[in-house]
Formats: sequence, structure tokens, C-alpha cells
Amino acid sequence: MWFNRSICKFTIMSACLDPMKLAYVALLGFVVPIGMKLAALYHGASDSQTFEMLTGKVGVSFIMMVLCLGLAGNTTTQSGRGGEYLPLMFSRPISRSEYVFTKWITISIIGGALAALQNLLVCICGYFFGETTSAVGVFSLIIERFLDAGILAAGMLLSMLNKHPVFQIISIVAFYIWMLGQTVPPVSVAGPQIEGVDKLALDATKILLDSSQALGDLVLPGINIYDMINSSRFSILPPVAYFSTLLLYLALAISATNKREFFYGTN
Amino acid sequence: MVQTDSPALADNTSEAANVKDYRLTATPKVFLIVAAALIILRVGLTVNEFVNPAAAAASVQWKNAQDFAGSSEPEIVKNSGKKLILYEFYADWCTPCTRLERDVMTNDEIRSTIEKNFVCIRVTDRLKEDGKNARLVADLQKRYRVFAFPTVVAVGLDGESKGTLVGNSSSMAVYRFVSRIINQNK
Repeated sequence: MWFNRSICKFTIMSACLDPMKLAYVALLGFVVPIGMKLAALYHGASDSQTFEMLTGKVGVSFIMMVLCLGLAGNTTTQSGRGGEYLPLMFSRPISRSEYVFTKWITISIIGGALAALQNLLVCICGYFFGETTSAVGVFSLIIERFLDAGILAAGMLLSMLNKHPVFQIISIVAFYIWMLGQTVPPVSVAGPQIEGVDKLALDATKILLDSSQALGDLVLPGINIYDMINSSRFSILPPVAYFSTLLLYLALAISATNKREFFYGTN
Repeated sequence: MVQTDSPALADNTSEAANVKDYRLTATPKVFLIVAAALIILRVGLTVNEFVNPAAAAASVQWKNAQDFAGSSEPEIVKNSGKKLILYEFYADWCTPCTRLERDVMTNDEIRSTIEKNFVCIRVTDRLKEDGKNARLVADLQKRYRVFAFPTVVAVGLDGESKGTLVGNSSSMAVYRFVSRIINQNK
């Protein structure tokens, strides 16, 4: 058994019935990026880096952080979240892999669907100002958001289920380093050659930012479907990197699930 | 566990329960094997790509601004054959520029759209290497207020800027930018 409908329903209800969570998702997931897009279109400006972040993988992570954190691990069995009713819902114990896979699929679908909807709304807004997105482009956007949600959900599940303090610190630091790599302005500043301490400072900053991007590619790799479909040269490395990391996170999450979560609150 | 008076049956039941418990708590072996195989493949492919970098895919065919030396910008616009002009402000040492070229300009949909609708001119900055830029390069940078590389500027038939895109944007952002300029200047 790989999927449990009761856990799926409970997870959806926990994620989507909290007004504060929904308000946050509505603001950061829809109002801010679509507002930025409309303002840019109205003034004839091109998309900003912040907009690209909020409509890409960073946007998916922002939506999922609030909507989906606390949906696995001990927090699910706490009173006030419906945890006290859970033992009554199950007539038999469930396997650890069933628990992890159900949670992962549910969280990925919630995060991916919201991010894909946001991307579609951005495309519709652009259409009224002369921007066209091809059918291949729209298809790519939707698939990319679900893929982003899938790997982020696996990473989040692992960090929620593994309670070891050292692992918690490493996962938080890795997330912030990944975020730093995403916020690097993708430009080089024009100007003459600089020397001395200024050059040293610039080189050190460049190394730091390049390292954060490399580490980000290592811990949360992505697949650019739009480029992959429209490229004459196919590289198998991005899909292999993505699925190897995804499977590793899920395997570690299953291993990290303890008896308490495994029996979903029952003794 | 099932209660029974028979010691033999009790042992069997206990063993069965243990087996069932193991299945519930175990990590699926197939899953672990596939994950390990993919990780090994990933390491191998990464090393291979580092040792034997793949040949670059076909990119946008840029004309070099140096080829227009002696011409002024109005003359370039006049000779564009009723096409829009797309300037790419570039520098050889600029990593985001090479990434834009490698990841975005090799996208077939973007490449064909740009080549069909624009006269593509690359304006390469040589300030760091030579200490100064050619006259036309300096004039274009000043006119379009270029402060960072890569910067892509679309210019209409009237010689006015129709849009600017700064930085190594995603393929989708570049396609949206280009399509908006084309549709608004039909």
C-alpha cells in the first residue's frame, strides 16, 4: 500500500482550512506577484528579479512553507489540530512508506496546484498587454511548478520528520544558503578594472555567491522544462540530479519516521 | 497479539506479528536501490560533463557592433530593413552574459522569434580589457544608460527604446519581453 486516503483528506483539511494560512498564501502567492506584474506591464517595464523569484521555485517554497509546515511529524498528533481524532480514523496500522508517500503526494499537489494557478494568472495578465506565451510555454510552466513542489515537499517532509538537532540546524542553514543563491542579482556591473583590496573583496563576494548557487543546485536541483523541450541538445543530467535528490529525501524521510508518526498517534 | 493456550501457536503468531511489524517499518528495498543507482549516475554524469564539456548549441546570430564602426546609430536604424533592433550589451568576462547565451539564447523558440523579427547586434564592452571602448559602443551605452551586463535593449523603427531587460533572466521572461515588444510594434 502506497497511498492512504484518510491521511490525504486530513492533510488537505489541515492545510486549507486555516484562515491565516490562506490569507498568507493569497497575499504572497497571488496579490504581490500579480500586482508586481500588472505594475510592470502598465509602465512598460520588464519583469524584475523579485517577480521571477516569486513566480518560480522561491514562490513555491514561500507558499508551501506556511501552508504545509506542521503537516507531518509530531505536530500532526497534537490536540487542537484534529490529532486527537486520528486514532479513531484507523482500524489498522499503516506502513511508514505509506505515511510518507501520502503526505508527500498531497503536499506536492497542494503547493504545485497553487503555484501553477499563479503562473497561469500571470500569463493571462500578460496577454492583455501584448505578451504571448506559447502552449508549450504554458505546459512547461505548469510541469515545472509541480516538479518544484515535489522536491520542496520531500525536503520539508524530511526536515519535519527528522528531529535530530544537528540535522535541523544543517537543513535550516542549507535552506538559507539556497535562498541566498536564488537572490543573487544575475548581472555584472559595468566599469573599469579595479585593483587591490576592492578587487579582493569583489572576488571573495563572487566566490561566496557562486558557492551558494552551486550548493543550491546540489540540495534542490530543478528541471527547466521549457528549455529542455526547445533545445536541440538534450542533457540527461538535470532529470537525473532531480530524481536522485528526490528519492534520497523520500528514503531518508521514511527512515526518519518513528513509531509515533508511523502509528499516527496511536499507542 | 492473539491470545492462545497453545505454546506452539503462540510462537507462530508472535513470529507472524514480528514479520508484519518489520514490513510496516521497513524502507522499501527497491526504492533504496533505485535512489542509490541514480545518485551514482548523477556523480558520474557530473564528472563527465566537467571533463568533457558538451559542444555549445546553436545560439542567436549576433552581428558585432564593431562591424558598424564609422556608422552612427541613426544609420544603423535606417539600414535595419524595417526590422526592430535588439542590442545585447555584453562583456567577455561577464558570467551572467555567458549563462544567458548558453541557457536562453539557445532555446529554439526564442532564437527563431528573435532572428525573425529583429536585427540582432551585440555591443561588447572592452573597458576592463583595453581601458576604453570604441566610440559607437560608448555612445550606445550612454544613450541606453547601461550600468550592468547583460542588458538587452529593443529599439523601434523610430530609433526610440521600446524596452530594456537587465540581467540573465529566465527563458520565459525573455520570451515574454520579446513577444510584448513585437506585438506592440506591429
